[in-house]
Amino acid sequence: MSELLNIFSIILILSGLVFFLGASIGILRFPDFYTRMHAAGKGDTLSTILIMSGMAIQVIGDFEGSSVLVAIKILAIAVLIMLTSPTSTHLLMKAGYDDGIIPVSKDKKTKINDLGGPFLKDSLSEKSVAKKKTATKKRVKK
Amino acid sequence: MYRALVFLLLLITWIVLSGLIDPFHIGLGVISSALVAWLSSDFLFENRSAKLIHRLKQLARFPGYLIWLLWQIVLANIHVLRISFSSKVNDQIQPQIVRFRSGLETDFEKYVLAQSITLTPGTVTLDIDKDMFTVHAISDHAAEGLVSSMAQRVKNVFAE
Repeated sequence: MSELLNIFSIILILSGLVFFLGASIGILRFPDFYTRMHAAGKGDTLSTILIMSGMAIQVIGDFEGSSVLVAIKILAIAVLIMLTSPTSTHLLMKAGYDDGIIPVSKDKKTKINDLGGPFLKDSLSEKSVAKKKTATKKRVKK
Repeated sequence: MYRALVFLLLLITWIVLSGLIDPFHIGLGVISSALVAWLSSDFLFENRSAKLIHRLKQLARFPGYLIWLLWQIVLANIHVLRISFSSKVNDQIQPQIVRFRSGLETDFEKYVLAQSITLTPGTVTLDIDKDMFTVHAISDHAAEGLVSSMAQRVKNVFAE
């Protein structure tokens, strides 16, 4: 049983390392600030979860009272990183966006893709339909 | 009512982090969490008018959303991994700024949606202006996955 758990935790840690490697290579290969931030900020969400849960399984191994507490603390680290890492990524990207760094895109200009919305069932039925009607009326007047 | 809830949360955190279960250390924990709950319990739980059963319902629906989000993170991470290992990176990515209205109302719902968008690799929330989300997406695939059902799921979790 403990052999199986050992192998399982090693697989978890190794796959976490593969995701970290992908993130580091992404930082080197992606073309501009924004896409690099994608690789730098996101690679560590899934890979931290994987590595931390692998370590928690290693620690828990023999099911003693104190080792369960240590495992809970290790998982708390993963939760903390899931909360803080997106916040810091968002702030860095927002600072760059407010500062006027132009993102790379295919047609060499800031291509803002407006999807409209809101994408909720109840609000889609009334508000957006009414707006579409007024928009078509305006076009007819012109 | 909410003050007692804050006290309990703090005490559980204390016991887990200290790991010492004897009268002296738990007594210290009770004193310090009571002090913190008395001084600053109104930082947690913004809307005090909501009933406790309502909160419990939201809490019960949240783990299902978390599992779905974790699965989305796995899928999106594999997508980004495939991009960064591909031989021609510049052909695989289509960086773009996406703008959409979410239709969510409270700040906490918007926070959860923004955090979920940023957690899934390939999309980062740049800005929230009232209801307008500005998101940077790394590829068309990531941008499509963005609006499919995430806002609706967040709305369902925090529904009445």
